[in-house]
Amino acid sequence: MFFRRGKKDKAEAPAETDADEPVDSASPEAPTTAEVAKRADTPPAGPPAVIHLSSSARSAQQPASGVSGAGVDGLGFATTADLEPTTAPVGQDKALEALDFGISMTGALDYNILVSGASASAALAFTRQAIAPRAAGEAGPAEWVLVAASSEDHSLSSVAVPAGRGNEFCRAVAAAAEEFAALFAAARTGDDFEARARTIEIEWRAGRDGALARLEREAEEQAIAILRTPTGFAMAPMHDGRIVKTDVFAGLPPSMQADIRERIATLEKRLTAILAAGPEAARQRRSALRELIVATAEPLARLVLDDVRSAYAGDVAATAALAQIEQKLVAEALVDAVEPGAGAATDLAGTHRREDAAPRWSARPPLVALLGEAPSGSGAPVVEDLVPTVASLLGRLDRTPASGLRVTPGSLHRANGGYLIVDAAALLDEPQAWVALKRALLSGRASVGVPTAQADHAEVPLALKVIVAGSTEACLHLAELDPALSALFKVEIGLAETAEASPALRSDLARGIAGLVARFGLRHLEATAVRRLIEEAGTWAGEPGRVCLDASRLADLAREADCFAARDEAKLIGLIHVERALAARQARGVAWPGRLPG
Amino acid sequence: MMAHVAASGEARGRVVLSLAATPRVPPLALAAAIRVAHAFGAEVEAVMIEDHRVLDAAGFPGAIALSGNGVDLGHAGLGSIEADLERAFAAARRAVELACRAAKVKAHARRVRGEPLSELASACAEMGPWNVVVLAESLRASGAEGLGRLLESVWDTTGFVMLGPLARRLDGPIIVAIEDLDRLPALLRTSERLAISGATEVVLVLIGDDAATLGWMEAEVRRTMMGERPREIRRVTAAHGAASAVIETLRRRAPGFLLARYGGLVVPADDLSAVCEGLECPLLVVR
Repeated sequence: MFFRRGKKDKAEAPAETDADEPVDSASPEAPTTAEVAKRADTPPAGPPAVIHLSSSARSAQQPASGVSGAGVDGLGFATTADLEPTTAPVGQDKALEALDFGISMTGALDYNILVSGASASAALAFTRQAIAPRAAGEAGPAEWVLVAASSEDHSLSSVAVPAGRGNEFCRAVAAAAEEFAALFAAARTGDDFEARARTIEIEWRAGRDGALARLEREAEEQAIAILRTPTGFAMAPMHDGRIVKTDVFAGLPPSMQADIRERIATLEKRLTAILAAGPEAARQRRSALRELIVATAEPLARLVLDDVRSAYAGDVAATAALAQIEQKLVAEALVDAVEPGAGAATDLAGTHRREDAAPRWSARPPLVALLGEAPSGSGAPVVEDLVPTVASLLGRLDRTPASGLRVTPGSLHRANGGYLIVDAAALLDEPQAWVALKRALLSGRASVGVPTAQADHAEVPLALKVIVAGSTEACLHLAELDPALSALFKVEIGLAETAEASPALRSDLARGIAGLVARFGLRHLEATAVRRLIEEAGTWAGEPGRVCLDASRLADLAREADCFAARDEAKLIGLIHVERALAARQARGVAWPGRLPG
Repeated sequence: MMAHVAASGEARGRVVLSLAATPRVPPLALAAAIRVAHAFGAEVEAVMIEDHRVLDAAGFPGAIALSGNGVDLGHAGLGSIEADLERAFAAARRAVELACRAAKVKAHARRVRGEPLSELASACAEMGPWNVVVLAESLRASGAEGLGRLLESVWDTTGFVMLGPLARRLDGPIIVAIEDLDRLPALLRTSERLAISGATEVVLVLIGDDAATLGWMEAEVRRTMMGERPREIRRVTAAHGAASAVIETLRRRAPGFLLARYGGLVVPADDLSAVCEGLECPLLVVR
C-alpha cells in the first residue's frame, strides 16, 4: 500500500488539473513567500511544464506549518508523513533485475557488479538504495579472528567464528591463553619437568664429555696427547709429559715411528667420530626436549580451551579454530622454551635476571584480534569505500611483543560476507587501489594490512560482492585501462537516466521523497513541495513527459529546501522552501539545470 | 679471604679469570668473575694460558689437527697456530673488556705460555695470596684428578670459582654448604659480600651425618654469627654420605652462588659427577 491514508485522501483530493506550471526557477534571487504566491497567480515565464500536477500556488500561500488538508494538492496526501516511505530506486526496474541477478551469483568472485549512471552520484545513490534493503534481509556473515602464534615465527592465521560472537571468542581465547601461560610456567618449573629436562641434558653432555674423557685417558696411556687448539684439537706423541721433538722422532726406529703414526691415526678416527656425532647428539637432545615440552603443553592447552570448546560445541568453524589455537599454544610453548644449560644470559653489571623462574613466554600470551565486528541480526554488511586506497581496502596490521596484535580492518574485510561499494572515479585516481582490489578478487583472499616481505600478514578468504559505481564515462575509462574489469565485473548495469512521468512513477517518486525524510532527518514535505520537486526532476530530464531518475539530485534539493525551512523555523518543508532552494542554487551559479560533472 | 682484605684495606685483591686459548669466553664465567670483583671492589685480570705443548705439536710434522666438528686438517691445521692464538686472545680480551666496562669493573688481559697449572700458579703468585681464580673451563665429571692437581699447584689464591656443565644461573640466594666449621667466619664474610652485591639473601646449609651433629653445628654457627645479621639456617642429614642427595637438596634451593669446601660431600676429591649434574650456578671452592 503506497499511502497510509490513501482511501481518505483520495476521496477528499480535488481533481488534478493541468493548469499549473512550475515557477520560474531561473530567478537569481530567493523568493519570499509573497513572491511565490504572486508568481503562482501569474502566467509562467519559465520553461514549459514537463509534468502536469496539481496547483502549487495555493499551497504556497498557506503557512508552512499549516496542514492544507488531505489531498489538497491532488497527489492524494497532505504531507509526506501520510505516505509509505520508500528507499528503493524509482524507475530502475531493469537495473534492479540485473542487480538481483548479480547478487544471486553467490560464491562467484568474478560476478561483481558495475553500476554506471549519468553521474557518479546517481549511480551511488541507486546502489545504496538498492543494496541496503537486500543486505538487511540477508544473514550476517561470520566474523574473522586473527590468531598469532608467536612473535618469532611470524605465523598468523585467520579463523571464522559465528556472527556477533567474535569479541566474546577473542576474550575467551585470550583468557584461556593467559591461563595456559600460567599453568605452563608452573609445569615447567615443576619437579617432574625439571627432572626430565635435566636427565636429557645430562645424558647429552655425559655422552660427549664422557667419550672425550675416555679417549683422552686412552691416548695418554698410549703416550699421545690430545690438545685443545683455538680452532679444535691437535694430536701429537708425547714423552715424559712433553711433545716429542722432530729430531728425536726422526731418530726412532722406523717401526716405532710407524707404530706411533698408526696410534695417532686410530685415535684421530675415534676423535673424529666423537666430534662428528656432536650435531646429531644435539639434534637428538633438542628433539627429546621438544617431546617433553609438547607432552607437558598439550594437555594444558586442551584443558584451558575446554570451556571455550563447550561454549562453541556444534559450531564446526569455531571448533576447528579452537583446534588450531590449541596447536598454536603448544607451538608457542615450544618456540619460547628455554633450553636448560643452553647458556645463561646474564646481566654483566652484576644484577642478574632469573633465567629459569618462569618462561619468558608467560609475559606475552598468544595474540588474538577480531577483524571487524558483524553484529548478529544486522544483516549483511554494506561498506562504502568512496576514496579507496590500498590501506583503506586492506587495513593495517601492527604487531609488537609489547602491545600484541593490533588490527585495523580494511573495507574489504568489513564488507566480507556482504557488499563493498567503490567509486569508479576514485579507482581511476588511485591505480594501486584498483590493483589491490583486483588482486584480492582474483585470489579470493584479502591480505590484512599491506603485505611486505618483512612484515607479518594474514589473509582472509573473501565472499563478497564488490559494486563499482560511477558515471558512465568513469566506468568506460576504467574498462579501457584494464580489460580485467569486465572479467571481474560481469554484471554491468546501465541506469536509466529518465523515465516516462506516469502517475505510478510520480507516486513512487513521492514515496521516495518521503523516504528521504527519514534517511536525512528532514522535516516532512507538504504535497506542494513534493510536487515541485517532481516538477524539477522533469526539468532535469529535458524531455517533455519524462522525469529524471537521479535520486541524489532530488535528495540534494530536498535537503537544501529543509535548510530554508529550518531558517523559517517551519515545521514542514513547503513550496516556498523548495523555491528558495532553487533560487539560491541559481544565485550560487550552480550549473543548473544542467549537470555537474561527475 | 678477600672479604677480610677488602675490609681491612690491606689490598683490594684480584679476580683472576683463567681462560683457555679459545676466542670464546663463557658468559657465565665472565659474569661470575665480575660478580666477585663487584662484591670485593677488586679488579678482573683475564689470563689466557696457552699450552706450550700445542706450539710444540705445531713444530712436529707427525702431529695432526682436527676442527671442532671433526674435520681432519692434517698438520697444516697447526701451521697458523700463532696467528690463531693471537686472534683468540684479541677476541677474548675484547669480550672481557667490554663486559667489565659495562659493569664498571677494572679489567686487564694478558696471555702467558707454558704449562697451564704452572702458569696459573705464577699468575696468582705475582699478586697473591688475595686472589680468587675463576675458571672459564667448565668442570667435568671426570675432572676430579685435574681439580686435585689444581688445588695442589695453585696456592696463592683464596678460592676457585668454577662452573658445571649445567650452569645457567647467577640469580638466587647465596648458599653456603657447611660440612665442618673450619674457615666458617671467612665463608660467612664472603657470602655476605656476595649477597650484598647481588641484593640477595644468604642461606647456610648445615650438612652432617645425624641430628646431634647438626644440632651442635648449628649452635656453633649461631655463636659465630652472634651480633651479626641473622641468616637462614637449614639442616641436611647426609645419610650414608650420599653426595647426590645433598647436591639435589642444594640445587632445589636454586642458588645464585654456592660456597663449599673442597674435599667434602659437595666437592669430593674423588668424584665430581654429582656436583656436575646438580650445579646450576657458580661454585666457590675453598680449601
